[in-house]
Amino acid sequence: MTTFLIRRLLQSVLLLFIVSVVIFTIVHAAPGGPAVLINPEIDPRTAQEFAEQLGLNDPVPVQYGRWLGNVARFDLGLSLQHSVPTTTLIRERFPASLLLAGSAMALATVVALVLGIVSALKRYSVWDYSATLVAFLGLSVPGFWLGIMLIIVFSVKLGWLPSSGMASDQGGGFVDRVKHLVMPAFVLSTFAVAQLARYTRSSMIEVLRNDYIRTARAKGLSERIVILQHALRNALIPVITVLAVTTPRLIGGAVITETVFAWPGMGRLAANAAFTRDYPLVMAITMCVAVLVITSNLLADLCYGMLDPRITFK
Amino acid sequence: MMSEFDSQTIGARVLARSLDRRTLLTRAAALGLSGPALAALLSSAPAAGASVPASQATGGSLTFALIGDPTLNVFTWPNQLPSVLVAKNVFSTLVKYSAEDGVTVVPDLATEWSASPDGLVWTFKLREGVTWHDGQPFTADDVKFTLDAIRSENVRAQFRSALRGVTDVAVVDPQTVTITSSEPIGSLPTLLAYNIAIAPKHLLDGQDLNELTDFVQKPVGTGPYMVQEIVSGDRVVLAANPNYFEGAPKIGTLTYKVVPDINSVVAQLLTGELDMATVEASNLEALKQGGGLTTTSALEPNTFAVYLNNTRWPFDNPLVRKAATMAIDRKAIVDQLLLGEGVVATSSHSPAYGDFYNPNIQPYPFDLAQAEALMTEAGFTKQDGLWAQDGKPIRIELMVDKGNSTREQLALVVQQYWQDFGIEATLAVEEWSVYIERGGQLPGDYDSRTGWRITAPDPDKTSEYGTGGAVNHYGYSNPVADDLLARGRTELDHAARVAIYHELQQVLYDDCPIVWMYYPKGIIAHNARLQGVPQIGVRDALLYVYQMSVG
Repeated sequence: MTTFLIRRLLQSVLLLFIVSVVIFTIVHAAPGGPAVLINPEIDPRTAQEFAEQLGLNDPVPVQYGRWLGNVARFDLGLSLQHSVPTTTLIRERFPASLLLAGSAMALATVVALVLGIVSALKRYSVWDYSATLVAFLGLSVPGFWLGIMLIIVFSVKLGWLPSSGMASDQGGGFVDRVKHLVMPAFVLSTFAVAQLARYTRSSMIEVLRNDYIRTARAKGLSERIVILQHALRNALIPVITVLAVTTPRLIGGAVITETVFAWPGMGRLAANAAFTRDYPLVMAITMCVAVLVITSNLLADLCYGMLDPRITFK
Repeated sequence: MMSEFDSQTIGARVLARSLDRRTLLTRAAALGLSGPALAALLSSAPAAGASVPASQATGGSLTFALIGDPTLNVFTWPNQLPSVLVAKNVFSTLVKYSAEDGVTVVPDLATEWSASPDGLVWTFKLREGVTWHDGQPFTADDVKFTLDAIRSENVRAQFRSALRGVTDVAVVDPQTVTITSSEPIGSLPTLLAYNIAIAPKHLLDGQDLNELTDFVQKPVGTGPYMVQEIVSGDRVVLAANPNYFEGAPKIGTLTYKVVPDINSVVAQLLTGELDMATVEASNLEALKQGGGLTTTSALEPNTFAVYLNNTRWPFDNPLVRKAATMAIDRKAIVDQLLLGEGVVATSSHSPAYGDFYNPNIQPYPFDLAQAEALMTEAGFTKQDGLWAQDGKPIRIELMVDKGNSTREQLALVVQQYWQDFGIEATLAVEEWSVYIERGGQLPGDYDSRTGWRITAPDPDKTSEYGTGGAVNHYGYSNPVADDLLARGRTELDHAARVAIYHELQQVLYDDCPIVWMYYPKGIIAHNARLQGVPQIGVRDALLYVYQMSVG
């Protein structure tokens, strides 16, 4: 177990290094330069002085070396566009993204498990077909369209829910925040519901065919216990894989949902950073998301062991 | 022989082209409300302010839209436009532009100012009894600290160019500051009113001003509103400053709300979630459906142009440049594309420059016959529908930035007019950073491109039309213009300056370095209950929120 963890940790560091080289090269290869320096209202001579001062005229490998040196000292640099440390920006935006992605994934997991289990148990029934239809709708309806439709119905026509932001202008209490969260979380969850429900269904069907399920039934256990304790536990393994990959991606990349609902999260920050060629911010966000993905995959691996005692770590 | 303008022709042109743009729109929709969906949304909108649960403005509050996230560092001005719009109410400048015309310089932190007879030393007398939002007194030391920081090599100050030529800032007494320069700067007060916000020395001295991590969370200024709360990416809430030196504001809370794009701004104006915002001409029709909204528009020191590369064939010839101007029906473009929210441009200065605008120059007419005569005079002949010189037909590129539908349509219309006249232009729709990188070099890497320039209402145009000027990427050069620019810069007498700049506009008009398209108006849409919105550009209109009230 300990050797497993140490090996994974070393692999992760190597992986992060490769990710950083690739991303650094790509963002610097993108045409154009940082938006702060190409503002049509800024005097180009002043802009040249800034570029020189920020070291943007140096060759890319030199810039990368400088960046890596700073990272080694836990300094992810200053955002060009916001002129505050990138870590401050991420710290400000991260809770909003975590709240949105967390709510969306919680909602998606509950709905998807119910749909998936029902489909698997009542295969080729009306229930199964309905659940499949819901899943495919979720997969095929684009998030921005669904978001706009929800705004039209619930904000404009009915006036029940606010169309944008995380809270009312003056802050607002718990209910106010929940009202702001409902639509974006729902939109963000639709894709995941569809994906998770499909995985749950097929993995459930597979597990139900196993010998130990027959044994459990033969022991005279109630169907409820057979399904929820014996079958579901094992059926969850592929589901957890999907969750582990999707959740961190949603935290850093819910760009469309965050934009439609003006949610102040990391996705919008990342998109703006890319558009404005805010190199330090792009790097900082990418590295954070990469760390999240690696961590959640590691956690998922550890979960497998708990769910299925046959899995051991070597 | 004036414009044979036919609104249906140009309307059809724009429409026919906008169909091609459907695919573009579909993709654009991924980042906000799509056109058709927005139309559906708008036609179903209830009367403004009806049954919207959250963020309804009542009595003493005003919610203004920002597209982009502000950071109140008044030296580096990150995310410039949103930051400037918020800073206008938190910080003060030495002097500011009047609410009447947006050009005349009136007192802000300084009550009076004058130049020495040789024009090298400006003296500013400061208002007494002004305090910072934290209660500390404001003094001349704060002014010196701020101006010295902006001049410093170590600070990446966005508006450093405003203080180029300044050699010394000195504190005479707590209420008096002098600014010394190497040569006279006639426009100094005008330049100081443009985003040179005075910052508190007692909080910032000794800090790295490029990186004000703590200060930007809770900025302290001398303006009419104090920062109450900043939520990154979401909102900035300001509260009235009861000790503001021109009297406490009438509106108690001023909220700046971050909104993803212009379509959301329109939707939220209609639902009443926003009270005030800048909008584009293309939004006016939708806003009318809401009711309860008023719009005001005003010219700003802003010129929209099609830049012609003076260093490349064929636009190295002034006759061709003039012909290219006369081939475009700019009146029709202003009427159709801007829905009248603009003025056909004459020369380098718009009427927003007040006295400095030369009202005697008439814009070049839309006149194909005259344009053809100019081409013939320049030695061109028509071959297969295209003007050609020495057998070489005019096939050029017209570059435009991607993503703004008004500008993309404008480029299409210009392309069409030039095609009809005999100039074949290929459109290059470039992403912003590429567009600026190619377009901003000296000389620029383009044949022709769209562009605009928003400046202080300072008539000095050395950077735009002076030989080798910082933004003279079209490579215009004329010693007569250079001489006028140099004289205008150092002249202190108002009447003499006016005469110099009137002459400059005539010289530039005759050389026609670029196609001055139009002077667009800035449009503000606001809740009809809001009283006292001045008829000037939005940045400076926001300076006067403290005089507004909600009826």
